[in-house]
Amino acid sequence: MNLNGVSVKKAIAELQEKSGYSFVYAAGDLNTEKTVNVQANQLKDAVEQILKGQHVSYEIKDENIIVKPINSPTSSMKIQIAGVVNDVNGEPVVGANIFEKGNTSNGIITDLDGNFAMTVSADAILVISYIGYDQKEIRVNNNTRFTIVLEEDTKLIDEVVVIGYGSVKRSNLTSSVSKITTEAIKDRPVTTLSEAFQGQLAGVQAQAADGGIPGQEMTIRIRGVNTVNGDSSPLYVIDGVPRENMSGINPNDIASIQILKDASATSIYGSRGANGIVLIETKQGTGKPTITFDAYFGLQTPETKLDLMDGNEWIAYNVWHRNVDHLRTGGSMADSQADRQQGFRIPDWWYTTNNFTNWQNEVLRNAPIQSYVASASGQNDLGQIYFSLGYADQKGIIRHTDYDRYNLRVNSSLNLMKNMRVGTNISVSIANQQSAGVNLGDRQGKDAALHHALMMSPLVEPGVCVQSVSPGGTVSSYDYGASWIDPLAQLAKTTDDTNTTRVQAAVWGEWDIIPGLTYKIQYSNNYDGTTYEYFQPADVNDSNISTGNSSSTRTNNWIVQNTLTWDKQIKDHHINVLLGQSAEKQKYYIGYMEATGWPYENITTLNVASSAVQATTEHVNYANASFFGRVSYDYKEKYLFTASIRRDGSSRFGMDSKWGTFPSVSVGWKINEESFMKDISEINLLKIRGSFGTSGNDRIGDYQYTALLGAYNAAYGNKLQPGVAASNISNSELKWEQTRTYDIGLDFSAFHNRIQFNFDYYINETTDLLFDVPVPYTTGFNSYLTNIGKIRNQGWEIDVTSHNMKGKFQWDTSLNLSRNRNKVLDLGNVGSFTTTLNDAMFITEVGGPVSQFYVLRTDGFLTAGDFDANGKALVPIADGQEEGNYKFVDQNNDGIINSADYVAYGNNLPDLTWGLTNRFSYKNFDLSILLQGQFGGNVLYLGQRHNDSGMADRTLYSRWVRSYKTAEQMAALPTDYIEKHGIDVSWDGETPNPFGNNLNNADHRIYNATYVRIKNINLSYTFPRNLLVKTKISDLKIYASVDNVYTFSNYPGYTPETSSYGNGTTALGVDYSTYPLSRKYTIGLSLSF
Amino acid sequence: MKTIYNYFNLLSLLLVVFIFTGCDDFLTESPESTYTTETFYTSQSDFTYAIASVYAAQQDLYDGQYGLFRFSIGRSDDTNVYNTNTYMDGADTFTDNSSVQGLENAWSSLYVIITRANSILVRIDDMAFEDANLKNYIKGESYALRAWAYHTLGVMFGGVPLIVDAEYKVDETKQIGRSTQEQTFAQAEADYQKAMSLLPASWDSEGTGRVTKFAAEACLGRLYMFMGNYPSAVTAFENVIGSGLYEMATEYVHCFSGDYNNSPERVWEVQYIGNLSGEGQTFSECSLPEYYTGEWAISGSSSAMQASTNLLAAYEPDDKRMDVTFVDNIIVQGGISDYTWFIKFNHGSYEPQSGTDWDVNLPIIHYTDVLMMYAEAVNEVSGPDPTIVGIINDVRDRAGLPNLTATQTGSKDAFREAIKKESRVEFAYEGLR
Repeated sequence: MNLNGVSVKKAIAELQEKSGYSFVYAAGDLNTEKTVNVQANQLKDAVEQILKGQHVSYEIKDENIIVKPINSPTSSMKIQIAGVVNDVNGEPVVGANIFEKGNTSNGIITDLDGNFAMTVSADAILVISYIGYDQKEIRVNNNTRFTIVLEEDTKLIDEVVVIGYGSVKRSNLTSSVSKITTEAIKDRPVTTLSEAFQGQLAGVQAQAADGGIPGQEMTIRIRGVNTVNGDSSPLYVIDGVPRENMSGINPNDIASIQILKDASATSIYGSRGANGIVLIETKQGTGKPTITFDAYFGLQTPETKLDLMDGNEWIAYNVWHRNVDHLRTGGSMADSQADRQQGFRIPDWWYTTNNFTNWQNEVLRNAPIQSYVASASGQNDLGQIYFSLGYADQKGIIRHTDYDRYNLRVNSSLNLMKNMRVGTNISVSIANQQSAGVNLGDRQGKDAALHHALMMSPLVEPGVCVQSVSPGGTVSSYDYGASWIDPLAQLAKTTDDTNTTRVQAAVWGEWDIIPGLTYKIQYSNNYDGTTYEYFQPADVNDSNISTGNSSSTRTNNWIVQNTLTWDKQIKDHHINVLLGQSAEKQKYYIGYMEATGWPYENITTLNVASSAVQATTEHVNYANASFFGRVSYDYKEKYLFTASIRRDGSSRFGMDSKWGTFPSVSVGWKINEESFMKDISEINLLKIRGSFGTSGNDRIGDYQYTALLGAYNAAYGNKLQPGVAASNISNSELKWEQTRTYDIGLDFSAFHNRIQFNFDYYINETTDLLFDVPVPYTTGFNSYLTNIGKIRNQGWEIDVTSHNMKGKFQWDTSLNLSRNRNKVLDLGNVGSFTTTLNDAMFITEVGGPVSQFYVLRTDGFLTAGDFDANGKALVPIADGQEEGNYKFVDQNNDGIINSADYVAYGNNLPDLTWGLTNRFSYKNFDLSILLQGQFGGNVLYLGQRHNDSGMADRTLYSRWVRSYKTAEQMAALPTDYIEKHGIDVSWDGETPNPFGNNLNNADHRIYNATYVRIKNINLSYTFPRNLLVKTKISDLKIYASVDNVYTFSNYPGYTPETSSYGNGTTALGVDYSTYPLSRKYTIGLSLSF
Repeated sequence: MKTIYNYFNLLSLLLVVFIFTGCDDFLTESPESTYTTETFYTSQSDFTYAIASVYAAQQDLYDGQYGLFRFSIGRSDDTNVYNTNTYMDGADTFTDNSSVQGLENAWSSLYVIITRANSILVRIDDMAFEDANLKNYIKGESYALRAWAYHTLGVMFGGVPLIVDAEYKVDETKQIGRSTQEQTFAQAEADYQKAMSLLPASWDSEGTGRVTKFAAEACLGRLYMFMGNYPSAVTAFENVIGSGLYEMATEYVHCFSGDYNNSPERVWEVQYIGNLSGEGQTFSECSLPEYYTGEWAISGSSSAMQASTNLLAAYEPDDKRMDVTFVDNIIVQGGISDYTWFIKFNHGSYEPQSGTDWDVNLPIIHYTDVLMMYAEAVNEVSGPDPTIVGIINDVRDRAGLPNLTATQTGSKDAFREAIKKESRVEFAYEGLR
């Protein structure tokens, strides 16, 4: 034999052929790829030369050459193993970690088919792990081929929870943190992320304060309202970058949402933490390269409609009303129509007409909704990347309202070196909201097209009430009832567009200086721009002049954050130290322009307007600098301790209080780890924890501490004279509002974590409330901005998750309950203050919650017996009250009903909010049902002053045909008409006599806001892999979903959740023609390659 | 790779150093778009801006449905109680309290005038002006406006806290109690007199409408009338009349029309300009009812007040002032209104472009009023004489009415009654009742 530079394999084959002997060896014992030279005449020489340098011995027996590994007495023999990792369904697990126990440097991850191959000691133990699966250990025992099945991890309790500037194992948390699971977001057709918050979390209230306006974010409040004059919305931290809101974010990009609730969690965000923190992490690339396509489309219908009069009821009511009006001016029913006063006459055609317009139906519609998202992601040794493109379009259920949004995101990281990584997070969103003037004016209410539509007389046809058709845009109310500018024309012709562009761009670098010590720097530059355009042509404008305005805002900020984290396990002691620093600058610009009069209205921009009204620009700047640190320590993961501190400086604070310090401490004790409980295997976790700390609210406005000069112009010399004077009283000590939080909690988990239970009790005391303290007008000012007063929020929260059934048929339930009580403890030198909106009043007083309604109380109705023969009242009444009107309570017993009898009654804050999710899965079908609601809380229907107060000529709630009628008024009923159309006019026991005086600011328009809503039902089907195996598709899921299925509520308006006056905290819970919610029927699919 | 490493270190180190130094500078954000008081009152032009802001507060006082006119007219028997309760919050029935907006607006605007005037007065003496006259004038205007504010407060509220020539802190202000009505009027009288010694008799065209020496004196005369000090009132009015700067308008409508703003009839009036300047007058729009369509207003206001039958009955037949003051049969929402509405401040050739764009000045005091008060004062001092009877007859003549009868001018009491009756119709809807 003479072989040069051939492989062992080749040499063996050659030898077998030449000698007829067979080689017998186990794969892995021989390196068959090794190159050898063989020059031998003897079989034995050839075998020795082939096996030279291999760790084997051999034996020649019969015609076989048996090769055996040499057993070394000092080190265990290495063998080559291979295998595949699957899940319980037989699907390969990609990227699972496999390493040799005790020798973690010897590890590998599974490839795209779940395969792996590695060299290990023959007696090694393999440790196989993968996120979301239980870790598994397997003895090698000289086996070389493995099929490993990983089971899904039910110990979700040990998931990692992201906290400020770090993360922690859930079971080791010492603070109160809630997490929204990805299940709650995925396959839910939500246009805005905040919709997914509702009903998911204890202690987090998501309220559709503006109703169902497409694209509108919900109002999020964490553990109640901590402020009177400030903003009570939380701080959002998106991929580590603090932001004021989360609008425009693509719900599909979300990896996790965590809510930090107690001060131990929030004080690391110092002067911005008091309202809680919403931490949002977006997706990173993992595993093999994947392209995913998500789409849904569907139809929306109004969730509910108001019970308004139909045409016949309107006629019946107004004929009666005009008859009574005529009688009240001294007439008789026998008088001819011509003898009546104008306005009390009834046209003959009223009795026969069937030509009615249902204006509510006219402005509402069924509207489509759609969304498409394409994303790609992947990960390898170099790093990872995730990017996505999204488009969503939601038409509004009020005609001509619309929202669409384009999203782009790139998250990537690059492993520069083994211990150094850099990365970027870049996202862009461009959103357009067309509101069609539906919520103009103070965004809602009196001047809104919707409100007008609800009140329009059914006798007025579409297209009649525009300025070009009739002067003033109205028809004669004497013949047609009340009318306003045609709401349909107004919606169609009004431009009311908001374009929002948001760019959040961050770069970061991370360096593991030594094992356990990591430095991270992040620089983020963010841009928020809005352009608002409004135009209303003359023919649909009240004042018959075309008007337009436009505003642009631009917010630019940069944030640098440096953190140093040290994590060390020393025997049973685990310590984690964080040191950090951040600095932020923000520049805000707003420009506003206004003009009137357009020669041609086909062009709606301001450049062609005939006269400019106003043009202004303004800059507002803000700076913030902080230093912070945190120490966490645990002993055997049994005794847990965390302390943190942050020092914040802000340009918003007065010269004498520029810096604030916000400390916190928290402790936890895992009782189940104690020896006396070790034996109770049913209990997986029993932990008690407690925390205390402070955080602040810096949303007190910019430059508020200084005395600013305002422009107060005069007009002598026949021209404008610029005038200047101080606009406020300065306060160099103005600072943040400070919240001190006490929280105790219990985390419990049992039966292999099939039941998990969390409980928290907390007290939040907010002091130094930003308060415009009323001062005597003799100072020349009406108020003085200072920090005064105290509010307390206290309550409890319960989260329960239970895996009721496992196996083929699975059933999981999660329930959250939260109770919060709000109490004002101090308001400085005043005991209370009131807020007036239109004819509604609110009071915030010491001892009660913020923003109570401040009203007259009713006590039934005034009866005939309450008046003497001369019509003189025998009980206290208000001016002009008559039989059948509400009877009011004379609180001060002075014999008359007036504003001195107002009392605090009810408020918008609910007693209990809850959410209940049930998930069922059978084979490839999944069904989830989300119920959500609140108990307690009140809502004030401000629209009452227009369409629920019995006024003639308008469309009212249909109950008014069943109003109280005195004996004389009964005679004025059009009995034939009522009979012919089968209208029930008998008293319903609730609706007063519309004549006389019923006073609007009373409890009769305040309703209980308790509701139970079937929020979402979602049914999905996941295609089995074996069906897809021949296609390129790796995952395919289709689903059908219904949102806002039904709401059980006694509230007669569109939705009891509403709060027309937004985030202000002194006039909560007003419904002034809120945009109705939509019921969404959608179907969707998710497809991966 | 090593270089990346180094750059990375250097960069982060630089950032840390940059941020850790100069923190307080970093946190100091001075307003870029707003002026602060720290640098104000340091030049002559600052004071011209400051005095304009005092006039601005006077405009605010008269603003729209919560303005002084609406509040004082709504309270009177010139308007119908039935419909005036909208936005009156009980003022019309005298059941109002301190939270009523019309009342609050009056109280606060008057004290804003006083505060801004005080801010000028405590500083102006230390400030060197290039134009020494202007310094005196601005000082005089500050006194006049403060005098007028205390005068108005005294009439509306009786005695009020007197804040004079000082800028107090909040707590100090609270220590200042209420004065008596006499003290309040004494302050107003002293301020008027200081103003008269400093102010010009008239302004050049650049200053048309600013308060003058004789405007201050006319107001002082009115104050004396209220105080019952008729001899002093006579002197004050004589000085105004004797200045020769004023004359009675030939037509009644010229007393109010926007076309005759600042004409010799007008002694002192609140100044407005149209053309969407932002300095338009907002009260006229509140004269006519909501959904009004026609020439007298843009769209009217839900706070409009109807003329009372009592007032209408006070007019003699064929009084020309009726058509200038009232309008009937206007079209509201496609129908004809049954009521009579005021249009006294809706005259002029300028067509406002919005409800807040009227150019019609509102009278503080006009010459007809000066003359008639003079007649009243003289009558109180010495009874009727041909001069003062002539004044009233001139007024009646302008209204197309015959001279007063001999009975009416025959005695002090009869003539007082005649002046009272004439004043009611001549000055209807001017907040003087």
